[in-house]
Amino acid sequence: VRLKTLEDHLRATWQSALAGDAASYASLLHEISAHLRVFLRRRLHTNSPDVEDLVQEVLLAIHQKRHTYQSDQPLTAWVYAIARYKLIDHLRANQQHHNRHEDIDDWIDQLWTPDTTHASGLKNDLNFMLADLPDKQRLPIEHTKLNGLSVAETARLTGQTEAAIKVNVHRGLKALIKKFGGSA
Amino acid sequence: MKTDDLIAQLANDLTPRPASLFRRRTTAVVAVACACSMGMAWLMGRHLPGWHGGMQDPKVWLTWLVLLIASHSAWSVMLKLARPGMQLGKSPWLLSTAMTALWAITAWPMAHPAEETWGLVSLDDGSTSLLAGATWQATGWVSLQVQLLAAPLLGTLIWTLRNMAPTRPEWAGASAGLVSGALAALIYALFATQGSSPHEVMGYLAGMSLMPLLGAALGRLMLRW
Repeated sequence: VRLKTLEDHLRATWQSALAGDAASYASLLHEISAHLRVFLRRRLHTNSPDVEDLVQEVLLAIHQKRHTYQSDQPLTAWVYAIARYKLIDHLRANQQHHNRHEDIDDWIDQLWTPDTTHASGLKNDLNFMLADLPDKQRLPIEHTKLNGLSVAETARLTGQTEAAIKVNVHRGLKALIKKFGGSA
Repeated sequence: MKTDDLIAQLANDLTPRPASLFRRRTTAVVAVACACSMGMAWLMGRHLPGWHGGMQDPKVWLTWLVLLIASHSAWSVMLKLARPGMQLGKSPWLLSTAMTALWAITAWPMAHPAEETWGLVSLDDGSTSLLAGATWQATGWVSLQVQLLAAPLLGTLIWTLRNMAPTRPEWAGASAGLVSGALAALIYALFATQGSSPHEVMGYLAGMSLMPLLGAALGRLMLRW
């Protein structure tokens, strides 16, 4: 019963819209796009931006092919036939895309390069910042904060006492904050 | 782009496009293509009408009628395939009935080679044969001519289908191929200088059956939207 009323309602709006009523055409397309969104989301099993792209593509097709609708056929059948056609088209195109990239070796550059360059950029920045500190502050900071060593290990490596390590780390960080800004 | 923006743009671009306009345009261009094929048939040395022989022979009439039904039903199948969400209904049945009838008309004299009314080839030794090499050559020739006549029709139909929205492009192309083949065979048969012999009808069939394949290939290439 609901489908029937939807069909009647849509068809009535369609008639007046195609007679040149832009406002009712827009509201009709709005309504259709809501139904399309549900239809496509359910079939794509996803909420990705693909769904919205596809909704737009179907709306465009409806607009461009509006003369192929004949008043003796159900409007919903016509709309969903177009949606199905575009959906299949989309799936086919995506499958080809998927097939092209099936081998993970093709991906590896795209997967890792951006992250590693980002990380090495950070490291360069850190080295640049630390370079200005005197060694007795810089080394304790590098060992404890960057390399993850304990205060006792750092004390053994640098020959400073544990208390001195703590003080120098604290002073070094304070100097960095003073120089490069930021809240302490 | 946001969907709302797209909808606003589409609503701004709302020029009227009545469905009937496309129907009329299709009919008009197909009529022109038919005239073109008739002109080609004339150039092939087939002059209207083969009516004298045809009038007297009911089988010739029958062939014309069956070809007419075949092209008409193929036409209505094509129009349905050209629109999204259309049910095919009964027209494929009518089409396959017409095609079966055409096969029957072709096969009947083959099964009864004694009936000379169908213009069997007389061999030098006085016997008649359908299997003589010359006959098959003629069949091939007829089939080629039918395909030539069908070419402008198929081109026009594919071009019109591009304006429509076939959701099964290959099938739409194949149906256009069948329309063009059946119409071309009809034109060829109407322009016959004598009654159609079995090898000619065989030629119609051979020529017609190749057109849907060609149409399907064209549909795959050109009817995506």
